[in-house]
Amino acid sequence: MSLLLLYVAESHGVVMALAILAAGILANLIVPANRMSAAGLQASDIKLDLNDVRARLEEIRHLRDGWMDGKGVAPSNAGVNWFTKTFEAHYSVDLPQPFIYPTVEGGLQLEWSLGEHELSLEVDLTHHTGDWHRLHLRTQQDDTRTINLGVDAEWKRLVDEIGQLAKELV
Amino acid sequence: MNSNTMLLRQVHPSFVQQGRVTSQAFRPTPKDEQKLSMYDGDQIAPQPAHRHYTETLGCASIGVMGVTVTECTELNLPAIADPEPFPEHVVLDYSSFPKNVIETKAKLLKVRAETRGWLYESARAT
Repeated sequence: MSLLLLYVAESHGVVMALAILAAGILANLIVPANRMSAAGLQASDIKLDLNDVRARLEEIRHLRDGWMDGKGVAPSNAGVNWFTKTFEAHYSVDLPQPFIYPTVEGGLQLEWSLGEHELSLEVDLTHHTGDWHRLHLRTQQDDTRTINLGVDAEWKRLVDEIGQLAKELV
Repeated sequence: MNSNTMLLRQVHPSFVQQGRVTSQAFRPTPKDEQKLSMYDGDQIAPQPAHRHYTETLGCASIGVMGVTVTECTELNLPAIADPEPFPEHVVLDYSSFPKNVIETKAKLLKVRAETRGWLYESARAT
């Protein structure tokens, strides 16, 4: 890149200015090397917003039975509708938004990577419950409980816990 | 297969969101009898393993991630050769662990694999 710019600079003054401008724009577009893993962006660098969550739930809604190589129950429309509504009613837009994946059993798995903590909530769309799992990666200490997602106080406890972990990252 | 052998795991497209892989990719389902299928990386490279999985077996995979045998045995997950379905087939047996322990092991393996990065990507996961 440097040699190319030098050549351009020597031969075409105006073109040189344009080339430098383009290099500056590119530098802003390219992700710094220390943020890249071999796979690309590190998971902790990816920030989702509420629109990503809604779009993801819509994607998952379109799965059909057998979605995983013949296995895999499709999440029900009613279940996805219920979860979308209750999630938006209880979860703060200011908190880190979860990544969402279908489960083979026809539910959802929400996941957060917050510093040294890996969190997941496996949602049962039929019984409106969630299996919470919180893991500290360094100590390997975990915490689990089943949450009744139809109860406001249980949502509040969940949101407070995630909020506290997010605050520790700041 | 030895302690340095890379075990190759195929990742279903629905198990990736914006490049991030779910821990479910490293967790067996009850239908799998709690055994997680992998490829022995000493016998087959990531890209041919992906081709075998998608073209010969006809299953969906967006790419291949990997963990070493040592990383599995450190979590009390011995890698067991199971050449019946195909010669390079290996399983990790989770069957003796309760659900929360399975989830812990799956998360730890996922993080190890994620740190290592994709060994083969058929398409950029979005």
